[in-house]
Amino acid sequence: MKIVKWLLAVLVIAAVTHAALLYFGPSLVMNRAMAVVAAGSGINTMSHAPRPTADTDRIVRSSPDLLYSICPYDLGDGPLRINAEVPPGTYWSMSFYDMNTNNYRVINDGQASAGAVLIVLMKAGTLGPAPAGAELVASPTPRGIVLIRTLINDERSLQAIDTVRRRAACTTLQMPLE
Amino acid sequence: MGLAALVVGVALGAGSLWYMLFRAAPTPYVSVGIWRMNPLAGSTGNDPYSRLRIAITSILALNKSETIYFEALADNDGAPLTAACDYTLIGQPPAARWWSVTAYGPDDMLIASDSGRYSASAASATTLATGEVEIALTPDGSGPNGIATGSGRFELLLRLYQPAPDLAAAPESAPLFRLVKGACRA
Repeated sequence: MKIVKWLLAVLVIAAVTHAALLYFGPSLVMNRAMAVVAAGSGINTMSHAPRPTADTDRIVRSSPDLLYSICPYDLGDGPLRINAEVPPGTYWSMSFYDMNTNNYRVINDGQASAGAVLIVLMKAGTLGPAPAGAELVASPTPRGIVLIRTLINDERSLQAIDTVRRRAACTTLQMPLE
Repeated sequence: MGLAALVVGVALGAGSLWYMLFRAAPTPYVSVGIWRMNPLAGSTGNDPYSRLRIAITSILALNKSETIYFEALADNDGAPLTAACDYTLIGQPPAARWWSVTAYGPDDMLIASDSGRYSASAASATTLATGEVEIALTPDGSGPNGIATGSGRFELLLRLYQPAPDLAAAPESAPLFRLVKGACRA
């Protein structure tokens, strides 16, 4: 009888472990990524990583041909304003990831035809009217990461590209929307 | 007794999850020569197992309409890529707005080298008269369009930014760089 109880306990613990890792695994992975990128500049702040090299590499499989700007976000204190300029003549994209690691939105340089992007990022289900000139984006989870990739398509343009991409920023907005 | 049940239960739960993720339903790679592509990269998984598999294998990847990633871990015979051998990649430039090949160590980080030659790309690579591109994979990055492979094992990542619609629709038919194995050192 004792062994049956023991086996039942093992099965219950195994099932709970399996389900917990399955359910929380993606957010654990994302939490770790957020901790790495937020270590330098914090949450709701855009940091502009130096060009990846073997010495500066912090994220697995970074591309040495891209410049990464990254904003780990938490919408708990309100929506996030994200503004960026798009360097001309090269590939650029702003991608949005939720805590399940889903890439739920991408805006690339072809879609940002005005040469600049202004986004208000809000929790799903709380969308209101967009401030003038801004596009509303709904985040499926209150926390996540916005990642901007800028391609160094010409080494001679590196400084100019770097200067423009460093103008990207993210800041928490107060409600009602500023 | 209680601690033993806890340890065995946790191990069983974690082990069964690993089995479900990577054995019962392994990542559905699309293979082209030495290259393989994870079609789940950047996608939004519909079931919890897919979501976790994406989180583990391709965090912060772009979806495949924006970028396709092909990786290579082994040569044409299935032997792991190693800096003990020289290799050459050769082929027509892939049909994409921009492409690059980058070498990473077994830890998925860039490989340190004096030359700093981490990658070859549409911007940096010179082409042959045939229109093909030749990329040398050598420990110090010497050779045409060379990439440094350091010491020990390495892997390659081919990025195709904004791939041509035909390629995005049928990546299994993409004409990609072929690998030619050169001399090996003891």
